[in-house]
Amino acid sequence: MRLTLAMVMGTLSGCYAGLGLPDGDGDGGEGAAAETTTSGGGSEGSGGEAVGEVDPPTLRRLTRVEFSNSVKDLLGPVTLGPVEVDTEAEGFFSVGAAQVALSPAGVGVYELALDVATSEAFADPAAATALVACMPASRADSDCIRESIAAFGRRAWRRPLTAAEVDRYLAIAADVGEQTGDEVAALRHAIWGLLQSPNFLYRVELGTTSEEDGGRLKFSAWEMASRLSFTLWATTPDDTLLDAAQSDDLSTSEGIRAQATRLLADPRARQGVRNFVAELYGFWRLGEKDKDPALYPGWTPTLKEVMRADLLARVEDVVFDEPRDVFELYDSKRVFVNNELARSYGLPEVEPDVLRPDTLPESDARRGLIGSALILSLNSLPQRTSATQRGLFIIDKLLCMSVPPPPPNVDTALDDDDGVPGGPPVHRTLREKLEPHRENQECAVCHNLTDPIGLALEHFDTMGRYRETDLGLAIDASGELDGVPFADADELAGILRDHPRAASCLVDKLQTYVAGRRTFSEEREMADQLMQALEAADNRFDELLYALVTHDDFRFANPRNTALRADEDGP
Amino acid sequence: MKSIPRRTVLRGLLGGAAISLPLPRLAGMLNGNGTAYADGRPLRPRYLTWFFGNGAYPEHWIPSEIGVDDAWMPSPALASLAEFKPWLTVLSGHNVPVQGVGAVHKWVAAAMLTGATAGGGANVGDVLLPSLDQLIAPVNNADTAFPRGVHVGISNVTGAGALDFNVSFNGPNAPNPPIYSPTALFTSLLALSGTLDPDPSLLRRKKILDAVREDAKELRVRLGSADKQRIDLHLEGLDQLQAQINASLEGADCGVPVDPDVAYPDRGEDGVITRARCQAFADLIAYAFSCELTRVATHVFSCSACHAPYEEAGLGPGTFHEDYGHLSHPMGEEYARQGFNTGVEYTMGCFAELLKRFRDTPDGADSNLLDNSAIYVTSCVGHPEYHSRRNAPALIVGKAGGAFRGNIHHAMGDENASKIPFTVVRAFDPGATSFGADEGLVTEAIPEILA
Repeated sequence: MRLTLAMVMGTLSGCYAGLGLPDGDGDGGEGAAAETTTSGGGSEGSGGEAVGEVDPPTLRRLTRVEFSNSVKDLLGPVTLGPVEVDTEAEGFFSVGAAQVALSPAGVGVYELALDVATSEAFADPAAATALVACMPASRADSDCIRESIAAFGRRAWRRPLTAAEVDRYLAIAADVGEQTGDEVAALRHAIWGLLQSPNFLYRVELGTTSEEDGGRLKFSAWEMASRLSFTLWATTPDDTLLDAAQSDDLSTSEGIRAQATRLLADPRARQGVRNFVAELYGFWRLGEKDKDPALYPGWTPTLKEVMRADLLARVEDVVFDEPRDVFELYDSKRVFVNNELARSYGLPEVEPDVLRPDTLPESDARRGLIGSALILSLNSLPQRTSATQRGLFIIDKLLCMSVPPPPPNVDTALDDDDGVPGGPPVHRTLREKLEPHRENQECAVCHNLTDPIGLALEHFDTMGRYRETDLGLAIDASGELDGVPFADADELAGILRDHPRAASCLVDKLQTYVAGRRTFSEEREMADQLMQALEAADNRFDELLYALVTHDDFRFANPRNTALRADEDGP
Repeated sequence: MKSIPRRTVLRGLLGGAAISLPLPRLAGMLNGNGTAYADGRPLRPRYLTWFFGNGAYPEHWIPSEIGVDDAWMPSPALASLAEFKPWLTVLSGHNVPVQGVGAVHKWVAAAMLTGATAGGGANVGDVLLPSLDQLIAPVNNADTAFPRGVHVGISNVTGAGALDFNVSFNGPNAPNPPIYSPTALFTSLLALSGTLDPDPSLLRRKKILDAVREDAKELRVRLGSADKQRIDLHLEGLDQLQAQINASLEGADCGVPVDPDVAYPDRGEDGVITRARCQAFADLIAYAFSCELTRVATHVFSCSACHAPYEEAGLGPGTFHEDYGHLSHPMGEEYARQGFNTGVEYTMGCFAELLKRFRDTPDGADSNLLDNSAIYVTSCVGHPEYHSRRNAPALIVGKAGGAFRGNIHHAMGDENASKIPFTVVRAFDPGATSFGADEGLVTEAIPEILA
């Protein structure tokens, strides 16, 4: 059964947190959208047309993943110590990276990590020749060192260095060469410095005012190279992309399309999509997730790793291996398992024991993303499931609805009646325990949203294995989403795939991740066009990515008909 | 390694492992009586925020009697702090009056640390103002090797938002994240200890940092105000590294800090809650404070709404927030309540490890580090089940060089909780006139707890 938007809005009015509802259907979301998107709006431009004010773009510190990918692209497979942690905002590290400062102490952490990495990369001068344009034969070979600094700097800083900048790092090399008599050490120190620079550690994509584009902030060709590369590859641009910037090809739609096509066909595009998915679904939490070893001895580091691999392989399968409808992820029976995960999924074990595709039986209650062991485990507790966390995942990540946190001074304890002291335990199902939350007015506002959906997954224990009963009690996995009833997780997965918010939510999440900020309400038109492109491409995610990076608005820091908010201390 | 003067290392035994105890404040830094610096300036007190998540049951935390000296006794939750009672200030009855945005754990924590609620909109889950340690640092710590202080953490579990794991903030979008590795802190302190031979590579590092500084300054010109502030912190970080290199080259004489890999080889992985990890950081903080490598620090035992397990306390792998704080443990509610109290007692036991070291570290004439420090202990809610804004745990331990009387349980009625951190700030910056914002704003300290 396909939901209608009217049904959705009737149930969920006031909880929508995203942007991108199809035009003409957004009545019910009006208030919430205005409340939860960043927008000025309302002031009048010179032509009488409404002009919204938006914040100018900000520096974007490389996330840990972007930093690691970039350093390894530049230096090879070096050891990288931990650097300052990412901060999540709007559900993404990419957004936190555009807001949060590197702490003073963090500067030293990067210095140390890059010391180790560059030392390792240059430990074997013969191998290091592959990293630089020219390996000096002596410390007097300043032309060679200059050439290497300029070439390495262009890749690291995503733009050519000025002559003064090259001289600055050449002076370091000369100084170190003089002290040590070692030309390789000299070059290594210059590169260590280039990588400590804010020009490497931050994505500097600020744009310049383009009068011919109505005063919008337009990204330069170099900035476009950076945007394309970090969006599609989650790493620094390669020389081909930088060459395209150098020849100004990235100032035109044609040039951008050509490079976007190349980048999406490159294996590094998988790395880019993996990073989006990992941020969207909060894979970082897997590191924190432990289960009670007495109750769940099967919870092992190898299982955690293969659960992650399963989900990423599913994504790569629909995006790259056999490009097709991305929403198959939501209700597909196709999984990727080794024998350890196969046991969790009730699938046969085979030899050799490698990660492989398999298909769940049609009769199996497990289906799609919400049936993956990773999602079920991430949104559970050490000793039991959590209908609230699981429901929240669906509502937030797949449907872009916001759920307010519990208010203060409310009792958050579950009514866990275990019988009279000294008597036999009286177990209750999670549904029964959660019932008071849904009867209490204060709690019901949120729990009526999360719990009925999360309870649909009660047939899967805290590590995602199927169970017929919970503590011997029959499980009722039925419920309804926006007035549409379902009997169990299998039916819920189908409802989610067909949900009218599925596409708009995915587009909004992608826009937020790519922009490094909450979407502007003025970007609704872009969102609509991206949804149309997605639909026209039979919901292929690679085509959505292509549509996004080749969209005219991707070349500008502010949408049409917007002005930049005044900044007295600005440049 | 240079030979270490015997007077700078006091050998001791702890847990069977040979360690070096924190040093007394160096005689060369003080006047003949040890009552002031050699140049006559008064001695500087030290400040530490010690934070733990999930609050405490008021009936378990708050002492039953109110008063000073013998009129009150520590509560069951505070029993392990009994030997430090002369330095102990317990506050109760206070209320967080701010209106919250986002999860209550976050904005009550924000209020207890900054006097204001957490941010809303795009900054939900972040602070709006600097935390009190960063109000104290500019007036008390700017001349040290760590001008923004040293920031450490025991548990690294809960979340990735700003207020999920940080307790020190330079302002909005500018946290000072904790480090979880005692080994990393030891390495930093050892480099500053004056016990290593000067490394010629330090001079090379300085030149690189000069170049990076030029880059940062040139970039800064192009930026908007928010980014300028971010780059200013980056520049500050570069300056801090330069200052640390200078300190290394100048060769202070602090003795050797306790090597956590020698003293606590089985302390557990970084990020795991163990008493040995608390001991390792306690050694290092006491060392850094004693030698005045920093006079400001923060210590996150467990973060707001901490989900980490307290296994060493006998509470198994369940999450402390859900299974115990929310009484969701499979063994039932009463088991969970008892377990929660056990967890709080364990937490204070780990805190006592720090206090032991502070008390046992001479600092100036006839005084110790605890006499000359103020440690502000707080949490993210009061009653764990109800997420109450009243009675969020609040202690001030130490006398900050005579600012606090100690040995008091003071009931604040329904007073604004911001008065507690403000009173601490005033002990370090008597010129401070207010603390917090909006409903959290206060202009008065708590005179009853002052000396």
